[in-house]
Amino acid sequence: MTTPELGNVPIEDDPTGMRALLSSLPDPGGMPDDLAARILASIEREQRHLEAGGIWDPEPAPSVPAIPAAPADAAASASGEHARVVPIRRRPRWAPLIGVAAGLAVLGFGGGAVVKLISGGLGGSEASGNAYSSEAARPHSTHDDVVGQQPSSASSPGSDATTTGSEAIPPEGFRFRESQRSFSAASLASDAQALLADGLSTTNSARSTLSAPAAAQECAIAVAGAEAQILAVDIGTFEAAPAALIVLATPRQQQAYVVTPGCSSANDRVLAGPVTIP
Amino acid sequence: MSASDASAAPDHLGRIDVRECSDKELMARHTGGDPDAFGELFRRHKDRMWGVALRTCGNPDLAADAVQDAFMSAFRRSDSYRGEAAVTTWLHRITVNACLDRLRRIKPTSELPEFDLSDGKDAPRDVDIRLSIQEALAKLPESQRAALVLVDMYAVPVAEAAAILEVAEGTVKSRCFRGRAALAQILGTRPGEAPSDATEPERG
Repeated sequence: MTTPELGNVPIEDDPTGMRALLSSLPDPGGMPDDLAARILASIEREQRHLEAGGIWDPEPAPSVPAIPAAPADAAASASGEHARVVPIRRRPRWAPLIGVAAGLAVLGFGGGAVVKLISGGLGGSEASGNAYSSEAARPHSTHDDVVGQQPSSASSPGSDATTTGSEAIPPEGFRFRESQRSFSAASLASDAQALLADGLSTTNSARSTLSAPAAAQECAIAVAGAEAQILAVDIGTFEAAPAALIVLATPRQQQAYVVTPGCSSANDRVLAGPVTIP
Repeated sequence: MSASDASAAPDHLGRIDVRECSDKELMARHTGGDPDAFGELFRRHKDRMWGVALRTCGNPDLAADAVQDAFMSAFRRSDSYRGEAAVTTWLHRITVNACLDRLRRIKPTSELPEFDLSDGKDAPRDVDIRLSIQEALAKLPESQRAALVLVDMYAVPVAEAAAILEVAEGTVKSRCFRGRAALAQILGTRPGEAPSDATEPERG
């Protein structure tokens, strides 16, 4: 619906008084310290990945609009300098601080200490200490942390480039199999135990992107948080639909989930679980 | 002159202090491989983007995820910034889009109608506010909320808001006018009530 009669009305014209009301609201304050630490840690991980020679998946990011080039930038664009983020060879000066800060955040030292480190390293931050519960601590969240080494083949259809992901480093001893078993919520724990005992270190599956360890790791993070570490994946069915049994480790326990075969940070649907593996 | 407007000059050793760089210089340095540039951009704009995300999403957890999405997208997709608009406009656009993406993920049926009040002047001026402003804002269609957050809360000029939201200036204005009217009506109704005269979503 359009309201062309509003075209000449100044935006300040507000008989409802809502503009004044909205503009009078206090600023919500600076970004919470732990969130800033989390984002900076993600940036640091991506920087490290770039330093290691990684190149981003060129899949376009739907959330990032293109803005036409200005004349001043035309030469750079034409030369391909804007074609992608080029590898960064030098570790940022604030990188060590971010690593320490992120570690402290994970260890539960709280955002206050973290921001002191980071704000110092970044030349001073006015971030306030708003309370914020980090997503990393929330299981089942749609976690989008940083993907370090996710190969493009691991991207699930529909995953967007906002996908990030924690250390998506394939774990040692990652187990994968395609048993085609019919998983159920009731037998999830025993299925997981059997998988851990019998799973083969096999990759390459046409049925699921989760055969790739990095993709499986991204899924684990998506469903269980940044500290999750993938252990094993079994491809089968759940309620007659394709599904994957994943077993992961958190700092406190091992858990099993049944997820969709395309599970990723952008598509982290959990079909069953978690169950704790005894 | 603010740091975002300044142009950095190298010191006697040829080094650049990123804190002295303009936003556009930082973007160029980031795409050119300067590992310090994006951190400076983040430090410079994180609070504003957090505020926009918080007010657009209406939920701290969602806003946190959205603003992280936004900064990581900006980090990765800096090639999509070509320098015509201000960096802040580009960051605002990414942040608002990230918020809308997040909202749609949790509310896939968020093709909400935009409230259209037949006469905005009917809205009460001195309402008995029973809901917090943020709760009332959360009841608005996302597009109206985003326009009000930018234009009314952050005093972003209509033209810039139009660039951020990728709509015509007239659309921004109509969203603001109708959003204000709807907001006034929501605040004048009992908690849990929504404006009754909803119409089809706006196109344009």
